[in-house]
Amino acid sequence: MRLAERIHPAAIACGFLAGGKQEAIAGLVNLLDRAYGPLDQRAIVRAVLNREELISTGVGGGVALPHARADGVRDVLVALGIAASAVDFDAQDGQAVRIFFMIVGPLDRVFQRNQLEVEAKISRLLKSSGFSEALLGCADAEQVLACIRTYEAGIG
Amino acid sequence: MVERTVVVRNYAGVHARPASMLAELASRFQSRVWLVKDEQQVECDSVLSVMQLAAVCDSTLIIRADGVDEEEAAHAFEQLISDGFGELEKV
Repeated sequence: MRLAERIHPAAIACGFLAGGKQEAIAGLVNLLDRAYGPLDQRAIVRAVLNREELISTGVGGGVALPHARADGVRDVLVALGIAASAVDFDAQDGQAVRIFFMIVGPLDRVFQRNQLEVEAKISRLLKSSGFSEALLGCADAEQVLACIRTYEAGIG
Repeated sequence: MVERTVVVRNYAGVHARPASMLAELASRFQSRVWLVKDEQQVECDSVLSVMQLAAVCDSTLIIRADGVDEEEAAHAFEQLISDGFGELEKV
């Protein structure tokens, strides 16, 4: 599975703007809708927020992976927001977030494995030294996809 | 060092929330704890590390703990994973 081939350029926003957690999630769902829609945005925002209530997906280091499974979604969808200024996301380490990977999948358990693979790939990239910094330096979606391609090739 | 073998029982697998729970659990022990799936070993020191495993339902994991409280740590990990991270009732 190549992440760079799974993310539609329209689902990537450099200079992503959000005043807070809720706005960030709504903005990311909007990216999903733009790239893969039409989607029931309200239902997805609600599902993601419910997930956040269990435990924040702000995993530390300025990164958040808000995710959910929702009715009406037909595939595992990924959006990426890179915020110009950090957003308070109740992260587990208290650090505000600039890199948001949103992962939304279907309710059907057949897709569970795909969703885990996408999450695992994103985690491996984020653990790769220099990847987050490189993402933050990207100016547009094409640069982001090129960056993801480079680091994906590096982790095999 | 102690090892325990355990099977992932919740159908959603070790996604972000279980990964958070595992990382949080590890932080309560002085021992270092690793999880091994197939050939891949990750330390449970952060959510991102644990999520790299992509451990789906029915995956077999080896828990490795090393340190002064390794027995307690391994036992706690075994219990959390066997209990399906509290997600067993969901279908």
